[in-house]
Amino acid sequence: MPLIKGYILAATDTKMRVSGIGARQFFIWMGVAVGAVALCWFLRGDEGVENGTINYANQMLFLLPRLVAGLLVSGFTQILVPRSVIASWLGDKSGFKGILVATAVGAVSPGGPMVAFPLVLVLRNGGASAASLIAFMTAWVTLSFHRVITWEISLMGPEIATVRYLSSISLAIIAGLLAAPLARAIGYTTRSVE
Amino acid sequence: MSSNEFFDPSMIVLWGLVALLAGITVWKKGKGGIAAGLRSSWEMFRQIMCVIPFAMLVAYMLAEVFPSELIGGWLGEGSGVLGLVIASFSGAFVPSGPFVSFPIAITLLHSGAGVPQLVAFVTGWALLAVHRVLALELPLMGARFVAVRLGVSIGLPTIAGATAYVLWPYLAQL
Repeated sequence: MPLIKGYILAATDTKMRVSGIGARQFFIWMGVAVGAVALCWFLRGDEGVENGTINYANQMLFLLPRLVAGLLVSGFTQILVPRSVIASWLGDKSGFKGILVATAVGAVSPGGPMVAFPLVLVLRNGGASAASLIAFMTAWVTLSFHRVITWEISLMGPEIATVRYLSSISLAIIAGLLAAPLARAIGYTTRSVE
Repeated sequence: MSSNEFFDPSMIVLWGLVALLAGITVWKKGKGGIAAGLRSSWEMFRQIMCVIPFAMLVAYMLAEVFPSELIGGWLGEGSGVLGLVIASFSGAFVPSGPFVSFPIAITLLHSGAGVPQLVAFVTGWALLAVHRVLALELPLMGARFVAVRLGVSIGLPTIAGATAYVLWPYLAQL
């Protein structure tokens, strides 16, 4: 129990809050999680909840060491790359050049979502535009060399891996170009850098 | 999960990258840089741990409610544009990482799915994966960002599948 109490206190400490994830999010997500477990139990019974919990525990175990590494990468990146550099290369005024740069960076970023998401947070906090962030994420999921080499060539063979890769080259740029007008329409605003 | 999944090459690459960046930080910014980097990592970790343990649980409970075996069957070579669209969106509902989605993709291929449909499926999983949106993107980036990203991405897996449809006859000959 003291462990759980400590966790809740640390997680909801409002003094340390920077980007808005805090007590409110914590309790909302806890409530949604309880609801999801109840729904699963209601529709799939004990067995469903048991399977879900085993998969969940495996995934968390898999994820945590990678998450910690990803956050350390993004922590050091934040120190090494000044925000003004991010804003000028990937900010609202960077336009098509920003989309191309973001696509290239996404394609060479190693690692799974546990590295990419912390890097996206660094870029967002540094003033990158929605177009750049989305081009980066699209390139990272569809063009990252590391995934092609680890999974696709080994499992699907070089021919299918090649056709998959060639078919995805345009996607990040299309996504980036469409993102700016949609972000305006939806009201997503780029973070300003003080 | 077997132990070789836990310690796969991505783990070595990741921690190698951490060591490299820590080295550069010491070299450029000194010990104070390391302390600042650790502080900012810790702050992100604390925020993420408010949400991820619960969001992941939601994703895995919903995966039980909508099992991925429902996928497949309508994805053969002759399934055309409709097959591409179905493949794109079935990819989105594969509730896991590459160690699940690629084996499913191989199974689809062996059970008669066409290569363009396979490309649409893998791209759909990569771009639209519901579990990743729920567990990571929504809590970290906020609903508006997710709306913009999904809005621009929704047609992309079908575009990739259509491109593969054009390219595959040339590559298959090689």
